[in-house]
Amino acid sequence: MITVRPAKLEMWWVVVAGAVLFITAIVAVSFGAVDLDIGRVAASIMDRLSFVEIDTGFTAQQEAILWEIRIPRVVLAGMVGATLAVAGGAYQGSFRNPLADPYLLGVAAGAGLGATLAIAYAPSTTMWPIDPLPLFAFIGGLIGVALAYLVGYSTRAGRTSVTLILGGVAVAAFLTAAQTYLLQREAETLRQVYGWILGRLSTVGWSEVLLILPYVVVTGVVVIAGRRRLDVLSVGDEEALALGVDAPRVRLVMVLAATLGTAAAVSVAGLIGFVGIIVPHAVRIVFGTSYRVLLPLSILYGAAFLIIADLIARTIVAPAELPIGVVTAFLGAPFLAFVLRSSRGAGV
Amino acid sequence: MSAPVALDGVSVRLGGTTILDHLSLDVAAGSWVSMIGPNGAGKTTVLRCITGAVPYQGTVRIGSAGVAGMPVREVARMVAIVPQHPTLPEGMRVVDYVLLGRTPHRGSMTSESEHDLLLVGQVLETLDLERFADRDVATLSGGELQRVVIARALAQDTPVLLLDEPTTALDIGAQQEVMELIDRLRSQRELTVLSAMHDLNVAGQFTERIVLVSGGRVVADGAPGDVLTPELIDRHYGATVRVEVDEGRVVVVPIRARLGADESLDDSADGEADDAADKPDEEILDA
Repeated sequence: MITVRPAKLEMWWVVVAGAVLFITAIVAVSFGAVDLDIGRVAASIMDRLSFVEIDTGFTAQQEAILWEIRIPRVVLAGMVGATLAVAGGAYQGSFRNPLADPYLLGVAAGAGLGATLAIAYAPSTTMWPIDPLPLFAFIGGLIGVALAYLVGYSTRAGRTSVTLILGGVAVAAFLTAAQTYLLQREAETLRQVYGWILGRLSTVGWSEVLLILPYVVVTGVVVIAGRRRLDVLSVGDEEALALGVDAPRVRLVMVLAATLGTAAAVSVAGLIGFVGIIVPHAVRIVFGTSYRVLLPLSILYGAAFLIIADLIARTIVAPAELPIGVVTAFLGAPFLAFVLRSSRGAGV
Repeated sequence: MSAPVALDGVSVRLGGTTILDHLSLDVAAGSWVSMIGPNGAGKTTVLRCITGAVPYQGTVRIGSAGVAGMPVREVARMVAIVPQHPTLPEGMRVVDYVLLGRTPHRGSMTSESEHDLLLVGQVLETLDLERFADRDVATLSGGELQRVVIARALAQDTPVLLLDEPTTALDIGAQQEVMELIDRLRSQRELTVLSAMHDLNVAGQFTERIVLVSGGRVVADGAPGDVLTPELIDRHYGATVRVEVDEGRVVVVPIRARLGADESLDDSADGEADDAADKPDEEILDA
């Protein structure tokens, strides 16, 4: 009698990924326009997070830089990276397509149009109780996906993942055209919108973190809870049905959850590309294709990846900042090419 | 454990084409029935009606219960299918693939139980697949793969097993091996088996009852000797055959009827056309 060992998430994989994320975060908060001593940073974090009183030796100004600028930014980068990576994994499993990314179904186009509207027509941020840009981008992203679903599922040929993707293509093309029209009319907003599209993580403290926290948590919980169902979907809709799983319904739940988090991430960070593709792929190559392994690890490594990308974005041309989307593409495109070359049978 | 399967007046129309036309078919509990018929006759669609993969009119019952409106998970505990062209997830190991068969028996949030793991271990052992447990499913040969897909269906632990052309892709040795395996499992586990069969001889050798489906209807039903007749095969397949009886089993021998130099060229062309016709038919059924 053989011992059957199913694919499962080994605890030490999680511990290693958690350690990588923690070290990355500590390094990232230490570097910037003003470099802070890593040991003191660690001490300050220990001081705040535990009941132990530790004298860090930081001045009040250094404390403020650390807690009001660096840490919220690194936390936000981690949340956005984790969300985009896990959403990418969820999309890839739902559509059984390694090229699926969190922007597949019109989220990006909808959010882009929303952001353009906010930049062009919302008179000034001071008139609004909250910054209108993330709000408009968020709503635009959700509308984009809702339209994609309506178009994709109105087909008479049957509700398949292909019709849904085609619905997304049609909706994205339309929304992008609308956005381009607006940009041509309101030419002075071009530069601002362009900056948003390339992604930006310049925050004003903890408000963005708190803004997206509920959505990010819901996305993470729902997607992780559905990870076993995604493994069943890997045999296709009809065989999944014969195994007692309603694939279109699983896909709907997963896509909605992934989209919610993506729209939230996009609303505060712009359109950061490649994270949703390369992080799940890297995890797939190292740890195997099972979604019960891939999705939890994508959260941890996605967070670490975007924290590093953001660190590069804000230090490499200091005091100026590179849009973070440029960094992820610079790192991501060659990485994807390398993955395509070196991996066979890893879902690529 | 065993349960009968009954289709009563089942009709399927897809895209304006009638695939099944008031088809009725009973499979007694614990028996093995082979469905034969030309390409596009509706054999696969009959199986898809039973798993609920295609909308139909009429009734399908497994055991005493109608499957229409039954939750998909309930259906998956009653009936398992071995598809003709299973989708192979890249990078998935054999043991994880077979474990998918336990899906209808566990909650969507829970891991496999000890019982699941034990049962899958037994299935792998029964099918002589222990040494393949850690292999990637995409790297298996045709015969190995067919055993793995059957293993997944057995792990589902259902009273009814459906097989869609289980031997079509296999060489002659693997064909006999798979059919013997199914027959052994059927009697051990008292399974009710309904298989769509491409090869008339394999159907005639291994099953006691054959149903000939043509144009979406059952046109003949009975013992192999009653269904595999030159007349019926000519009428529904357009083939010329001689039927022999060997040790009580029916053997169908294709022969060239229209002899003559000119005709023989046409014959070979027909043969190729038949092969090519396989694909469009499946596409219609899959649509």
